[in-house]
Amino acid sequence: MLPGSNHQWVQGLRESAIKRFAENGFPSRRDEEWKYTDLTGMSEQTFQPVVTPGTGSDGQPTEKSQIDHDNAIIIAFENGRWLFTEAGLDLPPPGVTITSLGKMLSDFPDRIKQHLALFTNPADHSLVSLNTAFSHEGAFVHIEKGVVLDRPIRLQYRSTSQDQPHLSLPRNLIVLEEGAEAVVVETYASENPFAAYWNNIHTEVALGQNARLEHIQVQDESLAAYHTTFTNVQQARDSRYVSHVYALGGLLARSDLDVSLEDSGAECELNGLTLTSGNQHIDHHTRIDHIEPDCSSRELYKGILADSSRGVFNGKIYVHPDAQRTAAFQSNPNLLLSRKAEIDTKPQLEIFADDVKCSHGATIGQLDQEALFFLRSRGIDELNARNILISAFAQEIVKKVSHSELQEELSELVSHSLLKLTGSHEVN
Amino acid sequence: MLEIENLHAAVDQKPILKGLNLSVKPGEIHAIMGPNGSGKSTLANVLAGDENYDVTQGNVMYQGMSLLEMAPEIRAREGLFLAFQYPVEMPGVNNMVLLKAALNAKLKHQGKEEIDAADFLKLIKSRLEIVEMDRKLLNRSVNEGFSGGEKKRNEILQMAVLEPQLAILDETDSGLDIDALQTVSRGINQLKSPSRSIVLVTHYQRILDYVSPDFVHILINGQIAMSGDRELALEVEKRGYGWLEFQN
Repeated sequence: MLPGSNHQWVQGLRESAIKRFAENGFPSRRDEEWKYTDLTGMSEQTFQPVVTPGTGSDGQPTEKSQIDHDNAIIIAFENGRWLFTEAGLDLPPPGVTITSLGKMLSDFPDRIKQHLALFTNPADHSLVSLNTAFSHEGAFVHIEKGVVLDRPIRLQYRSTSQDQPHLSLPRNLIVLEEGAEAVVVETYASENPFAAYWNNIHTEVALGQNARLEHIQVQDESLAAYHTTFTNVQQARDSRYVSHVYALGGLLARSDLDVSLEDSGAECELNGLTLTSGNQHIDHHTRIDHIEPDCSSRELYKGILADSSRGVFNGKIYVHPDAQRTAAFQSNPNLLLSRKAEIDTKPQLEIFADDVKCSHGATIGQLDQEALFFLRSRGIDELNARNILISAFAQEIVKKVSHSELQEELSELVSHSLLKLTGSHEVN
Repeated sequence: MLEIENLHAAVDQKPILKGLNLSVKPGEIHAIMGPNGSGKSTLANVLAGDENYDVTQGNVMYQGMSLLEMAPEIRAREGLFLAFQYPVEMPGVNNMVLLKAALNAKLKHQGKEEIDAADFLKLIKSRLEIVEMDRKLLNRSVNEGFSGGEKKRNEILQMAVLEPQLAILDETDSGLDIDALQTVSRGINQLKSPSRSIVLVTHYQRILDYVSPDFVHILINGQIAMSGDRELALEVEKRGYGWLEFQN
């Protein structure tokens, strides 16, 4: 039995989602939103769903997945099952709830009713319906009014090799009440670099008035994994959402990030970095809705593609009729390291207000030959010179992370991932 | 140090250097002057190994080695340094990281140990004083957002750290105000030594008021039209390049 099915509203939610998924099925390439990403191979595979609820319990870790050097509050999952929630030596301050969403669904569903699946438009994404229908686990993060949490919250999802490819449906709900502040790191990784599985994730974020969230999402799945993730952000007046999306692993990965600036003064900053090699396929769709006046959005997504890998970037910005004095900037520079690598980039600005400042730009290029010669003229060999320039291109995204320890950690992760793309030389 | 013999070079199949000869001995300072388009920068870039230029004929010996067969990075590690006319901006590449990587590449090439952090800082500090450069620029991206003068100082800083045997300065004086020119000149003069040679490529004789050359060559239409001493530069200053072109 799925958690929460004894509650009518949860059951209702699930039933209608099942119905929608049955009607819509898997997205196909006939759908404009899925033009460049073909799920046929995936939908023909058999994935074993993971349905057993987790065995961990609050405060009693069965296993610690990493050294807690930044005093983080960790909630860990394995193959979609909840393992533990661990706050280190210091308990989280009052007003902070970080726990299993499955537990909330079965024990305290009314505490999440206000936010769960409220803003998701299931008509757009049948894979979200699939998640809503069958998800049994995930993280629930709730920060009460005015609480500022400077310790990062880590949602760690880890997959292991199973006898059969498995399907996990992580579901996260992050709620920051008025004036609350937090840093949340969501990580999807595999202990086996070739494990085959499918993670179909849905993360919902609700930011109250003047709330501030720095949200880091790291996709470092196995190279045989499928990863589909849908993040939905609702922002109230004067709230600020800063997103950092890292797409490093996965055989096929699709990420949708929808941000809705619901009231004036709300701002969002979306940063993304995609590193692909081999025959990886990584697709990013972002959508920002400017609904009310005086909101701003700034988006910088970068891609570095090697071998015969493939990237997709589709960035939509909708400026609704009332959204006067909107400022929206989008940029998507890409670096192709091989002739066989390919990127499809499509900025899409739809502007229905007249007093707006909007710009977008996309570039696809190779390394700057002049810079390469400059470095070589200083005695640095060609391979190292290339690596220095590639690393500089990538690290610009990492520098956007304001939490310094997390920035350092991501910098190392990115350097390590770049080795895949550039060969065996260490990148400075 | 450097022997250039009948050097021909082209860009996009357009001949620029047309049989250039030049001999530079250790400890000498040579100024190469000439009008725009005469091939001054081409010469500097060919010597540094820029692949945008095709050497079609001729030979260059550097410290007994055939320079044109060496990769740009090997030339640098063997002590050749080019200060660029237009130093390139490199967002995200830290200035300190560049200096250290460059120095260590050279040390490794010489079979020496890499420099440790403390010695490196000491070295940088002493070199910064020579070029009177703001410390803060060290931790910025290479040349990004630098003023014209700061970029040129940064080139001289790299030169001072790498201590080349042969320094080629491509219009390092252009675009500098008088204070910056003096600072940059002081940096160059500090590097003067009996074993080190300097080739100054310049359009104006102004920098020669501060860095005194042993020889002055006038490059016109891809060849050295006339060689002389400091007096030749002053003559050119007075009369322009026209009379030489005419003579040629």
